Amino acid sequence: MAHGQTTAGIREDVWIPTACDMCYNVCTVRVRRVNGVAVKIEGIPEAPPNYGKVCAKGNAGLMNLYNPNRITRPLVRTNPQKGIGVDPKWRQISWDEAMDLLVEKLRAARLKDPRSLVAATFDRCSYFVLRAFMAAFGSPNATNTSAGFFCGNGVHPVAFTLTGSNDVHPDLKFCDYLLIFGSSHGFVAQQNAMGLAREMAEARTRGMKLVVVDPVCSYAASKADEWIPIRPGTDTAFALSLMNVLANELGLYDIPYLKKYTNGTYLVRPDGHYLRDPEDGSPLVWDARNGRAGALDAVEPMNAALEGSFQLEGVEAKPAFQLFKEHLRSYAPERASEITTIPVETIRRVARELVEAARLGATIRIEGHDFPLRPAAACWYRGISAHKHGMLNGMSVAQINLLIGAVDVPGGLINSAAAGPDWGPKEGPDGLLVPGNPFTNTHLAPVPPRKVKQPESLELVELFPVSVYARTMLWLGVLYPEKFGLTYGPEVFIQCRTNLMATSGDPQVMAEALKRVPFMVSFADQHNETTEFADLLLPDSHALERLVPVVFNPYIHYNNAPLPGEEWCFNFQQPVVKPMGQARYWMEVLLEAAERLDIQPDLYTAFNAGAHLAVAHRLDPSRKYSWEEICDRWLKSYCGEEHGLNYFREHGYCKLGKRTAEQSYPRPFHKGRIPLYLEHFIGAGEDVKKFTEEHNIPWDTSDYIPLTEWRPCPAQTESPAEYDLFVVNHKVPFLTLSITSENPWLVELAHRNAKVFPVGMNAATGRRKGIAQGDEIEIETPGGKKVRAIARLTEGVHPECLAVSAILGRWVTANDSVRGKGVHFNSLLEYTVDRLDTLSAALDACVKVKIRKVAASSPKKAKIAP
Amino acid sequence: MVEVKVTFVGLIQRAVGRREETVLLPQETTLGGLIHELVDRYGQGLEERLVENGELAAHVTVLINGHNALTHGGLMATLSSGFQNEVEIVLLGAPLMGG
Repeated sequence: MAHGQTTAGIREDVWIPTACDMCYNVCTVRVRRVNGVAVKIEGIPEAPPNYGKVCAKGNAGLMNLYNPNRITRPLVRTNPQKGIGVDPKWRQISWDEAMDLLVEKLRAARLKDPRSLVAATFDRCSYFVLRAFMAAFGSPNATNTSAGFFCGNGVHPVAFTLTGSNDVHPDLKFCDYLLIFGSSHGFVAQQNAMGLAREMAEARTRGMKLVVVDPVCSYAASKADEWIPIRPGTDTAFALSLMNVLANELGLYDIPYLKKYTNGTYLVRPDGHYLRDPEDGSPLVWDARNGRAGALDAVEPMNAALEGSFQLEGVEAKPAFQLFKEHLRSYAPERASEITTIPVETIRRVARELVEAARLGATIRIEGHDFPLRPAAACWYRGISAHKHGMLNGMSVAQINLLIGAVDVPGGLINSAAAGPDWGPKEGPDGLLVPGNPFTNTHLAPVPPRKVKQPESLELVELFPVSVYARTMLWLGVLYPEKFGLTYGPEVFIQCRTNLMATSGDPQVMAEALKRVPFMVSFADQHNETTEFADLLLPDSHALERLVPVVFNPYIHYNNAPLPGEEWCFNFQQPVVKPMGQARYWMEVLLEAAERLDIQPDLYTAFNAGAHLAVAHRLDPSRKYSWEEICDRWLKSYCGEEHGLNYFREHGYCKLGKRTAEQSYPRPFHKGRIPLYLEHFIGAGEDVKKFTEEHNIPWDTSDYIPLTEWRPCPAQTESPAEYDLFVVNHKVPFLTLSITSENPWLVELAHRNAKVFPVGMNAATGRRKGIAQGDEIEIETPGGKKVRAIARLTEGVHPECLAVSAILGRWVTANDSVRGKGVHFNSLLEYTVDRLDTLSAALDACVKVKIRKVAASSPKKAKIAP
Repeated sequence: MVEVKVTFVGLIQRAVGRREETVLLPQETTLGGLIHELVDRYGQGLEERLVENGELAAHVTVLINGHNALTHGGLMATLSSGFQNEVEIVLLGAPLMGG
């Protein structure tokens, strides 16, 4: 207690352990409660994953809890008209009335077609129950859109291909040289934000060189040793050119790694397919020691040829790596420089620095095992994923790591949860790596490709055989069901904690899609652009008001997976304060609805299956459990009989032992090979082409190629010349989800930060266009979409770019001080099939614009710092 | 004979038109054998929903007497004789993960 304060009037002063919910990392925290009021949030030093550290968002969480604009009562729409800016004319109703209405609508939808129920949320803590509810209902249409529009599309399928887990990250414990493409790994963004930030700080102190490739001098770039500005959408050309320098100019690559752990030795026929054993169909390799071809398993990996050309029964066959290496020759630094604007000498220097740092041939002994040591890595995320060719972009950067033998070994690019306490990646068809994590068995893995078939889900994932999801398609499926052969549309849409209107593609398209849904129910604690479309608006509890076990699930996802040497740990959320007004946790509402719909037994069975409950703790479908009982069983199932709900209420988390070196660096411990040559893409593309042609679905299959290529986005090739600037969207560490831009403390931070609300423009570009610091400008796309912004002139933006931050330019928000501030980047996008990556379903965020000055700067605006 | 009580949950319930049924199978039967029998009854479309590349499809979880088949051999998981096996076949729909 601070000096001068007294204890008079304090009846209660306690700290409650729980988990933060201001971003997807759900850090373990404790909250101080005084007289029933939460007054402070801080970390718990010994608790993973953040070990006592809490970011600005976490610290500010109280301001969302005590927002005076909280929704506290069920509301029903009285205005049948829906649209952007249309007042719903809410009327308060009781929970009983609300539940009757919800159940009536759900029952009718289920009778008509159970698939007509759609649910969307980014409430990661509630995925298990929601999925069980949807399965029991009979609908495949649960989604966490808008996540999956831009971000992980070119990351997760590539990560699965490389490691068998849905994410990869640099091993900052040993890395000496890190090349970041369009990402903010280690700078309080993305997954395991606090853990990676800590590791990044330690790595920088240790001397790791950090090079950031980005059109914008992002927060990561501003703290890097080197920022390499790049023309948007050209990262693949840079990546391929780096590999060309390594493979063809320097001749430096990890031969043992490529022979043992990739498909580089597989012989490829002139038609691009593997040459196969005529008897068992397995891929053939060239046995260099014995001078003949042999089946993959029959030839010692180190004896298999990585390069060369061989005649076999009149057919010329080459090892896949030979083709890869030849292909790279078309990416000479001189050509790549023209594409990317990166100087030729920089490309050659970075390639040499990277491979020198990789220390080819070095080993390290950890916990009694000898590992290759490759302290160099290249990582990527949204910046290169959100493009027409997002999957190829991600794959090309991933392959840099393969070339230097740096995947899943110390110092390189490592898996998140591919290997765990009793699982690991394994060998699948054609000797390729497939996931072995039973907890992620319900994730769609891209290898081997899935069979293309008539879409049943509105998301149309059946047309994406090498993706992990196709969420961007869902709303196009809603808008154009007949185009894709769908025989039903949505009847009821349940939405919670995902502001689709603000965070997905073009809000005009989203608005049309939402208007097609006959009945929409939103669970929300504040009004936003999406709740504006709801028919029924139910007050959701804040994270500090609800009970949710297993919010931090290290077996499933990277943001919760322990970093090497750290501990496997589960945490949970518990009510710190009483719910405001009549707010309820939305999963408890759905459980009640399930009981009234008579689907509770199936929900329990689906939950047992989806949450992987141990037999002793599974739910008996013939009886009913309270939410507390379900939580208790779930926690005991994962953490042991002694670590049930009571244990968690007291401690907040449960550690289950250290993540071992074998789990962190599984590469030497399994036989599954990583496809450097994407032969499986050929057949997958042929399947998609055949199906879509047969069903008259216009569909681009040209990206299904075995060797990654740089391909320009439509914005680069189709925009008229006067649209001469790209617009790019960049992260701000304290504005991660749309709820953070509604938080008063974070908005105050934003107002003090010159990078947030104005649009960044290179100073020379500004001078060339007659734009001065603080001028108001109009930004217009070739499609006629327009926004206005204040210009911030800086050296920290590529000369061909404008830089727009975060999800701003909001038009409905619970915080008046942020409404209309900044630019809504997604309003500039085209949300059409043509702008989707048909491999990964990423929505292309590459857009070109022209600008004009609207008004000269006022003295106040001209003070914007560069 | 091996007696199996099968419970269908999710989209598969719509495909087979029922929630439960009992199946009698020969001794030493595997989950693959059960699915083969179900495909005989309900058609090839069922196999397309349940099996992908020779394994259980990604969004399918099968519990055999409460145990996840995936960790007990997948399609090769054995069904015991001497008591009624309870097999729950759950179609969980699209995965919720990632960003």
